[in-house]
Amino acid sequence: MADSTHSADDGELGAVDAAERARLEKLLAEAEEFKGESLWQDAWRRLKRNKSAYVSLWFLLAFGALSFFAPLLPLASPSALNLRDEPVAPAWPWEANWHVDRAAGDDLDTAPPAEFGAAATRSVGSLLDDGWQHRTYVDVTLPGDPDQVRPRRVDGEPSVLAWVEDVSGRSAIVYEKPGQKKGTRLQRYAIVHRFSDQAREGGASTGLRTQLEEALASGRASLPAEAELLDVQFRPGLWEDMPFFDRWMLGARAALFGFWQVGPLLGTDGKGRDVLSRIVWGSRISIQVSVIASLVSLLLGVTYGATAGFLGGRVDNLMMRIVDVLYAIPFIFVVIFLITILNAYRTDLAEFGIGRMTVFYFVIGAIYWLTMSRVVRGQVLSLKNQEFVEAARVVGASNSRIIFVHIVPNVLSVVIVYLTLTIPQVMLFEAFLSFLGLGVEAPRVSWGLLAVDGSEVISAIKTYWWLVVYPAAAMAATLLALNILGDGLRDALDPKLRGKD
Amino acid sequence: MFAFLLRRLIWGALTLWVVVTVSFFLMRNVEGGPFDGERTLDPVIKANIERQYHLDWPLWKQYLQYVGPFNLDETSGIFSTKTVPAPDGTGEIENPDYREDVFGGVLAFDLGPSFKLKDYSVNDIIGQSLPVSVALGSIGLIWALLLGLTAGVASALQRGTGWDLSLRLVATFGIALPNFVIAGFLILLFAFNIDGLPVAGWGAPRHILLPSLALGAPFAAYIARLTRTGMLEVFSQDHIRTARAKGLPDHLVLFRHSLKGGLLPVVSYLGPAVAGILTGSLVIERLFGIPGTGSHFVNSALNRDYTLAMGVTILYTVLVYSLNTLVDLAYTLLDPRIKLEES
Repeated sequence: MADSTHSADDGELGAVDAAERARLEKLLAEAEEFKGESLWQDAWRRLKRNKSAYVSLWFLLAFGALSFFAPLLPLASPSALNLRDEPVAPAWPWEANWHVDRAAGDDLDTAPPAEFGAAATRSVGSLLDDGWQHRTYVDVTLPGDPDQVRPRRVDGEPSVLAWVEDVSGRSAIVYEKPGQKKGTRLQRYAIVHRFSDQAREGGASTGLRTQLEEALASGRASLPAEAELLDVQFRPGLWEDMPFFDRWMLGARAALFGFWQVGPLLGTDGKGRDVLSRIVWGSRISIQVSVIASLVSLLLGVTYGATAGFLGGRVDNLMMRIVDVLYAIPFIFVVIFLITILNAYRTDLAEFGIGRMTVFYFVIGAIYWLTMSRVVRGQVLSLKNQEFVEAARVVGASNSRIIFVHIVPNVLSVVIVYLTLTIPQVMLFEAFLSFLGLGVEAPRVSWGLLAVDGSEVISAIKTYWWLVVYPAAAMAATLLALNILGDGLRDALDPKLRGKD
Repeated sequence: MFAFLLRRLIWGALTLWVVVTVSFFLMRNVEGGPFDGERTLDPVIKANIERQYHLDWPLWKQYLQYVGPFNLDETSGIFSTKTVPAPDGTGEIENPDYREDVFGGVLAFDLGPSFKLKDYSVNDIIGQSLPVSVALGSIGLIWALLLGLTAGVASALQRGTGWDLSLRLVATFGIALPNFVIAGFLILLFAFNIDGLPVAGWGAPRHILLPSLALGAPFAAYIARLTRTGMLEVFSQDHIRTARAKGLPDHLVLFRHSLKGGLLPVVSYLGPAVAGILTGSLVIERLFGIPGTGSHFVNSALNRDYTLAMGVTILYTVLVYSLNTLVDLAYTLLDPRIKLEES
């Protein structure tokens, strides 16, 4: 009986249920159809609608890829010198001045100093410079006290120390290895061996090593008698300390393009260096400096600001007063002063592995963290007491969940916006320091240095406009894109504008 | 307000002390003194020079001498005696410099001698060059305000038109280019295409126009952007709609009701702008060959003339700090909603 009532009830319920269930299932299906929009999806959608910001984003990505893969591109060496009288004007491939021999060492005074007559050499490795010359590293035991030998300096190039003649009578020049410590009796020098024209043209096949071996075997090229061919790598000019991946890309470039390289599409500067190549290679350092320094400032600012915001009360008050005070100090003077002093400590710092660039990152990062800390603190303070955080707490979310799921994503948007606006500022600051001669040093190249080179030739009688216009255009385009993207991101991530168009 | 100023003063002094102390000890520990040149000096001469600049003193005493406020020198300072041993060793003679300079050091506004520019004190150099930099900077600031405010207001009034667009484009370029590139283009333009304004030199009033324009241009661009945003925000507010609804003429709405509110962001930007203009003049002075404090600072930094570099750093820190404090004060006067920091 009970069973039947129950079953009857069940049947009744079941009948109601069928309609109800259909409705609910439809709702469920609709709900599954309907995807909630996260903050980031919404922001992305609105960023896409902002045409200029979207174009800027793609421009920056493309440019970033170009600068990252710079070693793969068949560009001339950005630092190999050719001390010709006049910069070469920009040329198209069909124009007469397209093919310019831009290999280094043309104008060097190569008479051998007598002191090196009896130098004992041992080959330790070799490299290819610029596709056209071959560099053999040798350890040379000098007959005399090396400090007594005064190497002749050739502008920008390492000191020429000796001159070696190979079997076929072709000349080679011994350079001191850049960065070699003076005063050791055993020193490492580079023998730079110029390829003959036949060797250049013969090298159309696969790897450089094979090419060189073929050239050696056929007698089209030869090495100094003492030098032993150990390894051949393709490196542009003076880029000595290149990370592994970049060297690998250079090798790939050699395999792909051989000795072929792009002519002076954007002209060359007063020292025969290709402007296009310098812009691309310079962008690497500029991007590196500005991104790393901005990240340093981000780290400092977020830590400081978040600490102040979370702790609140008197600690917050004190920390923010300190920021207020620091705000009112002309940091750039202090920084320049500090950099000049630290330059004097350079060798000491280098022993700890702190290079000039590292100092740079921290010094610049240390200036730009102030605004970031203020912004983050304000965000954290306002988020801490918001309803959704309360709600999460009521539901029983742990502290770490509240921080990482609810607060961090909200702070992140502001941080990203500020980051995109800091990067151009840091780039400008790097340019400023380079202008004063305190930034990146040759043979490295950055956009700041390029702008300086450009602004130096301006006041000359004859204007080499391409030295000013192209670097300035590259810099302006990038900074413009960053600024537009930053503004676009700010609009896209602004919760006030959310859902509006 | 008094409490605010006092607090600012204390914090400023503290910061300055940290800057001075840290850089002093870094500076004195640098290997290779300021007098190391191409030739090695005769030890006697070197000792004489070092005595002259008190480099033979223990470090703590040098530090006290640098900070002041008392001059510790034996012949002319606070510890000097009325008589000194005669040079020929026969008895004592009257000290002509007796207590001539009782005060010295940073606290007594004495920044010491320059290590590289012999016969000049840092005070002399700053005294000669600061007026030049101040003139350049103030004209630069006037350019920045003049161009920036005009462009910003015009942009806001003409919102959405071609004028607005092109003004904003120019402003974005102004922000995105380093000021030495802008200066370079100006020089290029005025040296080759437009006659009338000299591109280098100092002395006549017309010399100041181009460098100050190059100096103020990036800030003009930023001010234009701030003004435009500020004005647009004010235009959308109720009291402006009321004013318009009452039938007030456009210029009255603009000048009496909108400007004050719209310019608030610009006022708060003035502090950073002043600091930026002072910094920018380092580059501009070098490019245009102007003998201001900025170019002295750069040269001293490159030549390792530490006392001069430090002197200028201290001067500019004080200058910018006080200007920023003034701007904060002005801001509270303009906007009654903002209260001075209370803690």
